[in-house]
Amino acid sequence: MSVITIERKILEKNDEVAGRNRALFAEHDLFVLNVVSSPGSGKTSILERTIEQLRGKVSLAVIEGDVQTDIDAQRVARLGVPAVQIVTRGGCHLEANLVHEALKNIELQNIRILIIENVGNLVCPANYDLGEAMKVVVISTTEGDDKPLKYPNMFCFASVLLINKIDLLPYVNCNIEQLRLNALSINPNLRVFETSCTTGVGIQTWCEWLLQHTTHPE
Amino acid sequence: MHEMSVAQQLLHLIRRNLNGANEEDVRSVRLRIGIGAGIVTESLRFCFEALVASSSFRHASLLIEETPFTIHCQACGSVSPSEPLILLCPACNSHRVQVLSGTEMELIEIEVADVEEKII
Ligand SMILES: Nc1nc2c(ncn2[C@@H]2O[C@H](COP(=O)(O)OP(=O)(O)O)[C@@H](O)[C@H]2O)c(=O)[nH]1
Ligand SMILES: [Mg+2]
Ligand SMILES: [Zn+2]
Repeated sequence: MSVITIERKILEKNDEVAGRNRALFAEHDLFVLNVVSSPGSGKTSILERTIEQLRGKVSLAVIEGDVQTDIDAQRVARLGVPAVQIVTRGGCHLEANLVHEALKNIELQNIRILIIENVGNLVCPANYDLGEAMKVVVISTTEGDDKPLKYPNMFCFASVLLINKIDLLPYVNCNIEQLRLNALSINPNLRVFETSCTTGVGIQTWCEWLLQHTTHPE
Repeated sequence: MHEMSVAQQLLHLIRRNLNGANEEDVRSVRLRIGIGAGIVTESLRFCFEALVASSSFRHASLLIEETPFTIHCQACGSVSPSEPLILLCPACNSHRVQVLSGTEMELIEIEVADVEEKII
Protein backbone atom coordinates (compact mmCIF):
# COMPACT_ATOMS: atom_id res chain seq x y z
CA MET A 1 0.00 0.00 0.00
CA SER A 2 1.11 3.55 -0.52
CA VAL A 3 -0.25 6.46 1.40
CA ILE A 4 -1.12 9.77 -0.23
CA THR A 5 -1.16 12.51 2.39
CA ILE A 6 -3.78 15.13 1.58
CA GLU A 7 -4.62 17.18 4.72
CA ARG A 8 -7.27 19.41 3.17
CA LYS A 9 -10.68 20.62 4.25
CA ILE A 10 -13.47 18.55 2.73
CA LEU A 11 -15.40 21.71 1.91
CA GLU A 12 -12.35 23.60 0.60
CA LYS A 13 -14.08 24.38 -2.71
CA ASN A 14 -16.94 26.07 -0.86
CA ASP A 15 -14.49 28.03 1.29
CA GLU A 16 -12.58 29.13 -1.82
CA VAL A 17 -15.70 30.50 -3.47
CA ALA A 18 -16.83 32.08 -0.18
CA GLY A 19 -13.47 33.85 -0.12
CA ARG A 20 -14.11 35.17 -3.62
CA ASN A 21 -17.58 36.37 -2.58
CA ARG A 22 -16.06 38.10 0.44
CA ALA A 23 -13.51 39.90 -1.74
CA LEU A 24 -16.30 41.04 -4.06
CA PHE A 25 -18.32 42.33 -1.09
CA ALA A 26 -15.29 44.23 0.23
CA GLU A 27 -14.63 45.74 -3.18
CA HIS A 28 -18.20 47.12 -3.26
CA ASP A 29 -18.21 48.08 0.42
CA LEU A 30 -21.17 45.80 0.98
CA PHE A 31 -22.33 44.56 4.40
CA VAL A 32 -23.67 41.01 4.06
CA LEU A 33 -25.93 39.07 6.43
CA ASN A 34 -26.63 35.34 6.26
CA VAL A 35 -30.01 34.79 7.94
CA VAL A 36 -30.70 31.27 9.19
CA SER A 37 -33.53 29.56 11.11
CA SER A 38 -35.90 26.62 11.06
CA PRO A 39 -38.61 26.85 8.39
CA GLY A 40 -41.30 29.31 9.46
CA SER A 41 -39.48 31.19 12.23
CA GLY A 42 -40.10 34.41 10.35
CA LYS A 43 -36.99 35.15 8.26
CA THR A 44 -38.89 36.55 5.30
CA SER A 45 -41.25 38.50 7.55
CA ILE A 46 -38.26 40.06 9.32
CA LEU A 47 -36.74 40.94 5.95
CA GLU A 48 -39.98 42.65 4.93
CA ARG A 49 -40.14 44.62 8.18
CA THR A 50 -36.45 45.51 7.95
CA ILE A 51 -36.82 46.75 4.38
CA GLU A 52 -39.77 48.96 5.38
CA GLN A 53 -37.92 50.30 8.40
CA LEU A 54 -34.75 51.12 6.47
CA ARG A 55 -36.46 52.59 3.42
CA GLY A 56 -34.80 55.85 2.43
CA LYS A 57 -31.97 55.31 4.95
CA VAL A 58 -29.87 52.68 3.19
CA SER A 59 -30.03 50.68 -0.05
CA LEU A 60 -30.70 46.95 0.35
CA ALA A 61 -30.79 43.87 -1.82
CA VAL A 62 -31.91 40.35 -0.97
CA ILE A 63 -30.96 36.83 -2.04
CA GLU A 64 -33.59 34.23 -1.14
CA GLY A 65 -32.78 30.56 -0.74
CA ASP A 66 -35.55 27.98 -0.78
CA VAL A 67 -35.87 24.35 -1.74
CA GLN A 68 -38.65 25.18 -4.19
CA THR A 69 -40.55 28.23 -5.59
CA ASP A 70 -39.73 31.94 -5.77
CA ILE A 71 -42.53 32.98 -3.41
CA ASP A 72 -40.14 34.65 -0.95
CA ALA A 73 -38.28 36.64 -3.63
CA GLN A 74 -41.66 37.85 -4.89
CA ARG A 75 -42.69 38.92 -1.38
CA VAL A 76 -39.52 40.98 -1.03
CA ALA A 77 -39.55 42.34 -4.60
CA ARG A 78 -43.04 43.71 -3.96
CA LEU A 79 -41.39 46.14 -1.53
CA GLY A 80 -39.27 47.56 -4.35
CA VAL A 81 -35.99 45.94 -3.38
CA PRO A 82 -33.79 43.94 -5.80
CA ALA A 83 -34.42 40.28 -4.96
CA VAL A 84 -32.92 37.16 -6.50
CA GLN A 85 -34.27 33.71 -5.75
CA ILE A 86 -32.03 30.64 -5.49
CA VAL A 87 -33.93 27.37 -5.75
CA THR A 88 -31.84 24.53 -4.31
CA ARG A 89 -34.09 21.72 -5.61
CA GLY A 90 -33.81 19.61 -2.51
CA GLY A 91 -30.55 21.05 -1.16
CA CYS A 92 -30.91 21.74 2.57
CA HIS A 93 -28.57 24.77 2.65
CA LEU A 94 -27.08 27.46 0.42
CA GLU A 95 -23.55 27.01 -0.86
CA ALA A 96 -21.09 29.75 -1.79
CA ASN A 97 -21.18 29.00 -5.52
CA LEU A 98 -24.98 29.39 -5.63
CA VAL A 99 -24.61 32.81 -4.05
CA HIS A 100 -21.78 33.64 -6.46
CA GLU A 101 -24.08 32.92 -9.40
CA ALA A 102 -26.95 34.91 -7.87
CA LEU A 103 -24.65 37.93 -7.41
CA LYS A 104 -24.41 38.27 -11.20
CA ASN A 105 -28.06 39.39 -11.17
CA ILE A 106 -27.58 42.22 -8.68
CA GLU A 107 -26.05 45.65 -9.35
CA LEU A 108 -23.70 45.63 -6.39
CA GLN A 109 -22.39 49.16 -6.80
CA ASN A 110 -25.78 50.59 -5.79
CA ILE A 111 -26.20 48.45 -2.67
CA ARG A 112 -25.00 48.93 0.90
CA ILE A 113 -26.56 45.94 2.70
CA LEU A 114 -27.14 42.50 1.17
CA ILE A 115 -29.33 40.09 3.12
CA ILE A 116 -29.13 36.42 2.23
CA GLU A 117 -32.04 34.34 3.54
CA ASN A 118 -30.79 30.78 3.86
CA VAL A 119 -32.86 27.63 3.41
CA GLY A 120 -34.97 26.90 6.51
CA ASN A 121 -32.75 24.52 8.48
CA LEU A 122 -31.07 24.95 11.84
CA VAL A 123 -28.25 22.46 11.22
CA CYS A 124 -26.68 22.31 7.77
CA PRO A 125 -26.12 25.97 6.82
CA ALA A 126 -23.64 26.29 9.73
CA ASN A 127 -20.96 24.44 7.75
CA TYR A 128 -21.21 26.53 4.59
CA ASP A 129 -19.56 29.92 4.60
CA LEU A 130 -21.16 32.15 1.96
CA GLY A 131 -18.74 35.04 2.39
CA GLU A 132 -21.02 36.94 4.75
CA ALA A 133 -19.90 39.42 7.42
CA MET A 134 -22.14 37.78 9.98
CA LYS A 135 -24.78 35.17 10.57
CA VAL A 136 -28.12 36.17 12.05
CA VAL A 137 -30.09 33.33 13.63
CA VAL A 138 -33.84 33.68 14.05
CA ILE A 139 -35.82 31.62 16.53
CA SER A 140 -39.51 32.03 17.24
CA THR A 141 -41.18 31.67 20.61
CA THR A 142 -43.31 28.80 19.26
CA GLU A 143 -40.22 26.62 18.88
CA GLY A 144 -39.59 26.35 22.62
CA ASP A 145 -36.80 27.69 24.81
CA ASP A 146 -34.63 24.56 24.62
CA LYS A 147 -33.76 24.85 20.90
CA PRO A 148 -30.37 26.55 21.36
CA LEU A 149 -29.25 23.61 23.50
CA LYS A 150 -30.56 21.06 21.01
CA TYR A 151 -29.17 22.81 17.91
CA PRO A 152 -26.05 24.59 19.17
CA ASN A 153 -24.14 24.90 15.88
CA MET A 154 -25.99 27.84 14.51
CA PHE A 155 -25.97 29.72 17.82
CA CYS A 156 -22.26 29.09 18.20
CA PHE A 157 -21.31 30.70 14.90
CA ALA A 158 -23.90 33.50 14.74
CA SER A 159 -23.33 37.11 15.80
CA VAL A 160 -26.97 38.08 16.25
CA LEU A 161 -30.02 36.28 17.63
CA LEU A 162 -33.49 37.54 16.80
CA ILE A 163 -36.18 36.08 19.06
CA ASN A 164 -39.26 36.49 16.88
CA LYS A 165 -43.04 36.15 17.40
CA ILE A 166 -42.90 37.62 20.89
CA ASP A 167 -46.56 38.63 20.36
CA LEU A 168 -47.35 34.92 20.85
CA LEU A 169 -45.66 34.66 24.28
CA PRO A 170 -48.96 34.65 26.20
CA TYR A 171 -50.13 31.63 24.23
CA VAL A 172 -47.06 29.41 24.08
CA ASN A 173 -45.05 27.49 26.60
CA CYS A 174 -41.82 29.42 26.13
CA ASN A 175 -39.80 31.15 28.82
CA ILE A 176 -38.05 33.90 26.92
CA GLU A 177 -35.48 34.54 29.67
CA GLN A 178 -34.59 30.85 29.62
CA LEU A 179 -34.35 30.96 25.83
CA ARG A 180 -31.96 33.90 26.05
CA LEU A 181 -29.88 32.20 28.77
CA ASN A 182 -29.70 28.97 26.79
CA ALA A 183 -28.51 30.81 23.68
CA LEU A 184 -25.96 32.83 25.67
CA SER A 185 -24.67 29.68 27.38
CA ILE A 186 -23.68 28.45 23.92
CA ASN A 187 -22.36 31.78 22.70
CA PRO A 188 -22.08 34.62 25.23
CA ASN A 189 -21.13 37.08 22.49
CA LEU A 190 -24.51 36.86 20.75
CA ARG A 191 -26.30 40.16 20.31
CA VAL A 192 -29.96 39.42 21.17
CA PHE A 193 -33.06 41.29 19.93
CA GLU A 194 -36.72 40.47 20.55
CA THR A 195 -39.10 41.11 17.67
CA SER A 196 -42.64 40.69 16.48
CA CYS A 197 -43.40 41.04 12.80
CA THR A 198 -47.10 41.19 13.56
CA THR A 199 -47.01 44.17 15.92
CA GLY A 200 -43.65 45.56 14.75
CA VAL A 201 -42.23 45.61 18.30
CA GLY A 202 -38.44 45.49 18.39
CA ILE A 203 -37.96 45.99 14.65
CA GLN A 204 -36.79 49.58 15.04
CA THR A 205 -34.20 48.67 17.69
CA TRP A 206 -32.84 45.86 15.52
CA CYS A 207 -32.72 48.08 12.44
CA GLU A 208 -30.98 50.91 14.26
CA TRP A 209 -28.32 48.48 15.44
CA LEU A 210 -27.95 47.08 11.92
CA LEU A 211 -27.59 50.52 10.41
CA GLN A 212 -25.10 51.57 13.06
CA HIS A 213 -23.17 48.33 12.62
CA THR A 214 -23.07 48.72 8.84
CA THR A 215 -21.55 52.16 9.05
CA HIS A 216 -19.34 51.55 12.10
CA PRO A 217 -18.53 47.82 12.41
CA GLU A 218 -17.21 46.93 15.89
CA MET B 1 -28.88 16.18 6.66
CA HIS B 2 -26.04 17.62 4.59
CA GLU B 3 -23.87 14.49 4.96
CA MET B 4 -24.66 13.48 1.38
CA SER B 5 -23.37 16.77 0.05
CA VAL B 6 -20.26 16.43 2.26
CA ALA B 7 -19.69 12.87 0.96
CA GLN B 8 -19.94 14.15 -2.63
CA GLN B 9 -17.46 16.94 -1.93
CA LEU B 10 -15.17 14.35 -0.36
CA LEU B 11 -15.14 12.20 -3.52
CA HIS B 12 -14.35 15.29 -5.63
CA LEU B 13 -11.50 16.15 -3.29
CA ILE B 14 -10.10 12.61 -3.50
CA ARG B 15 -10.27 12.76 -7.33
CA ARG B 16 -8.30 16.00 -7.31
CA ASN B 17 -5.59 14.42 -5.16
CA LEU B 18 -5.05 11.00 -6.72
CA ASN B 19 -1.65 11.95 -8.18
CA GLY B 20 -2.13 9.58 -11.09
CA ALA B 21 -3.41 6.63 -9.02
CA ASN B 22 -6.57 4.84 -10.20
CA GLU B 23 -9.86 5.34 -8.41
CA GLU B 24 -10.26 1.52 -8.33
CA ASP B 25 -7.08 1.22 -6.27
CA VAL B 26 -8.16 3.42 -3.37
CA ARG B 27 -8.45 1.12 -0.35
CA SER B 28 -9.03 3.52 2.52
CA VAL B 29 -9.92 7.14 3.12
CA ARG B 30 -9.01 8.69 6.46
CA LEU B 31 -10.95 11.70 7.76
CA ARG B 32 -10.63 14.00 10.76
CA ILE B 33 -14.06 15.13 11.97
CA GLY B 34 -14.51 17.34 15.04
CA ILE B 35 -17.29 16.38 17.43
CA GLY B 36 -18.57 19.95 17.10
CA ALA B 37 -18.53 19.97 13.28
CA GLY B 38 -22.25 19.27 13.00
CA ILE B 39 -21.65 15.99 11.19
CA VAL B 40 -23.35 12.74 12.15
CA THR B 41 -20.52 10.34 11.44
CA GLU B 42 -22.77 7.29 10.99
CA SER B 43 -24.79 9.22 8.48
CA LEU B 44 -21.65 10.35 6.63
CA ARG B 45 -20.46 6.74 6.54
CA PHE B 46 -23.83 5.61 5.17
CA CYS B 47 -23.74 8.25 2.43
CA PHE B 48 -20.12 7.49 1.55
CA GLU B 49 -20.84 3.77 1.26
CA ALA B 50 -23.94 4.39 -0.82
CA LEU B 51 -21.98 6.63 -3.21
CA VAL B 52 -18.92 4.43 -3.62
CA ALA B 53 -20.83 1.13 -3.97
CA SER B 54 -21.73 1.88 -7.58
CA SER B 55 -18.56 3.82 -8.45
CA SER B 56 -14.93 3.15 -9.24
CA PHE B 57 -14.17 3.87 -5.56
CA ARG B 58 -15.99 0.67 -4.56
CA HIS B 59 -12.93 -0.84 -2.81
CA ALA B 60 -12.47 2.16 -0.53
CA SER B 61 -13.37 1.98 3.15
CA LEU B 62 -13.88 5.02 5.34
CA LEU B 63 -11.89 5.63 8.54
CA ILE B 64 -13.02 8.49 10.75
CA GLU B 65 -10.91 10.01 13.54
CA GLU B 66 -13.04 12.15 15.82
CA THR B 67 -11.34 15.11 17.47
CA PRO B 68 -12.41 16.56 20.83
CA PHE B 69 -13.78 20.05 21.24
CA THR B 70 -11.16 22.24 22.91
CA ILE B 71 -11.09 25.94 23.65
CA HIS B 72 -8.35 28.41 24.49
CA CYS B 73 -9.21 31.06 27.08
CA GLN B 74 -7.82 34.52 26.40
CA ALA B 75 -8.53 35.58 29.99
CA CYS B 76 -6.64 32.91 31.95
CA GLY B 77 -4.67 31.30 29.14
CA SER B 78 -5.86 27.77 29.84
CA VAL B 79 -6.65 25.23 27.16
CA SER B 80 -9.56 22.96 28.08
CA PRO B 81 -11.78 20.34 26.59
CA SER B 82 -15.39 21.48 26.57
CA GLU B 83 -18.83 20.25 25.66
CA PRO B 84 -19.09 20.76 21.90
CA LEU B 85 -19.95 24.35 21.04
CA ILE B 86 -20.07 25.73 24.57
CA LEU B 87 -17.99 28.91 24.45
CA LEU B 88 -17.22 29.25 28.15
CA CYS B 89 -13.91 28.65 29.94
CA PRO B 90 -14.42 25.90 32.55
CA ALA B 91 -11.40 27.18 34.52
CA CYS B 92 -12.34 30.83 35.01
CA ASN B 93 -15.84 31.20 33.47
CA SER B 94 -14.66 33.75 30.94
CA HIS B 95 -16.45 34.08 27.61
CA ARG B 96 -13.33 35.28 25.84
CA VAL B 97 -12.49 31.92 24.36
CA GLN B 98 -11.31 30.72 20.99
CA VAL B 99 -12.15 27.34 19.50
CA LEU B 100 -8.89 25.39 19.08
CA SER B 101 -10.24 22.14 17.71
CA GLY B 102 -13.39 20.14 17.31
CA THR B 103 -15.05 21.78 14.31
CA GLU B 104 -12.74 20.41 11.59
CA MET B 105 -13.84 18.35 8.61
CA GLU B 106 -10.69 17.23 6.86
CA LEU B 107 -9.42 14.57 4.52
CA ILE B 108 -6.15 13.41 6.08
CA GLU B 109 -4.92 10.77 3.63
CA ILE B 110 -5.86 7.94 1.33
CA GLU B 111 -4.29 4.53 0.94
CA VAL B 112 -3.77 3.17 -2.56
CA ALA B 113 -3.04 -0.45 -3.51
CA ASP B 114 0.28 -1.18 -5.25
CA VAL B 115 0.46 -3.38 -8.36
CA GLU B 116 0.70 -6.75 -6.56
CA GLU B 117 -2.23 -5.91 -4.26
CA LYS B 118 -4.66 -5.06 -7.00
CA ILE B 119 -8.01 -6.75 -7.11
CA ILE B 120 -8.52 -8.09 -10.63
N1 LIG C 1 -47.70 35.83 15.23
C1 LIG C 1 -46.60 36.03 14.49
N2 LIG C 1 -46.47 35.41 13.30
C2 LIG C 1 -45.35 35.64 12.58
C3 LIG C 1 -44.33 36.51 13.03
N3 LIG C 1 -43.35 36.53 12.11
C4 LIG C 1 -43.75 35.71 11.11
N4 LIG C 1 -44.95 35.17 11.38
C5 LIG C 1 -45.71 34.21 10.56
O1 LIG C 1 -44.99 32.99 10.54
C6 LIG C 1 -45.14 32.37 9.26
C7 LIG C 1 -43.78 32.08 8.65
O2 LIG C 1 -43.13 33.30 8.38
P1 LIG C 1 -42.01 33.48 7.24
O3 LIG C 1 -41.54 34.87 7.32
O4 LIG C 1 -42.51 32.97 5.95
O5 LIG C 1 -40.89 32.48 7.82
P2 LIG C 1 -39.56 31.89 7.12
O6 LIG C 1 -39.90 30.52 6.64
O7 LIG C 1 -38.56 31.83 8.24
O8 LIG C 1 -39.16 32.82 6.05
C8 LIG C 1 -45.98 33.30 8.41
O9 LIG C 1 -47.31 32.85 8.46
C9 LIG C 1 -45.83 34.63 9.11
O10 LIG C 1 -46.93 35.48 8.93
C10 LIG C 1 -44.51 37.18 14.29
O11 LIG C 1 -43.67 37.93 14.77
N5 LIG C 1 -45.66 36.87 14.98
MG1 LIG D 1 -38.74 32.50 3.99
ZN1 LIG E 1 -10.26 31.03 31.55
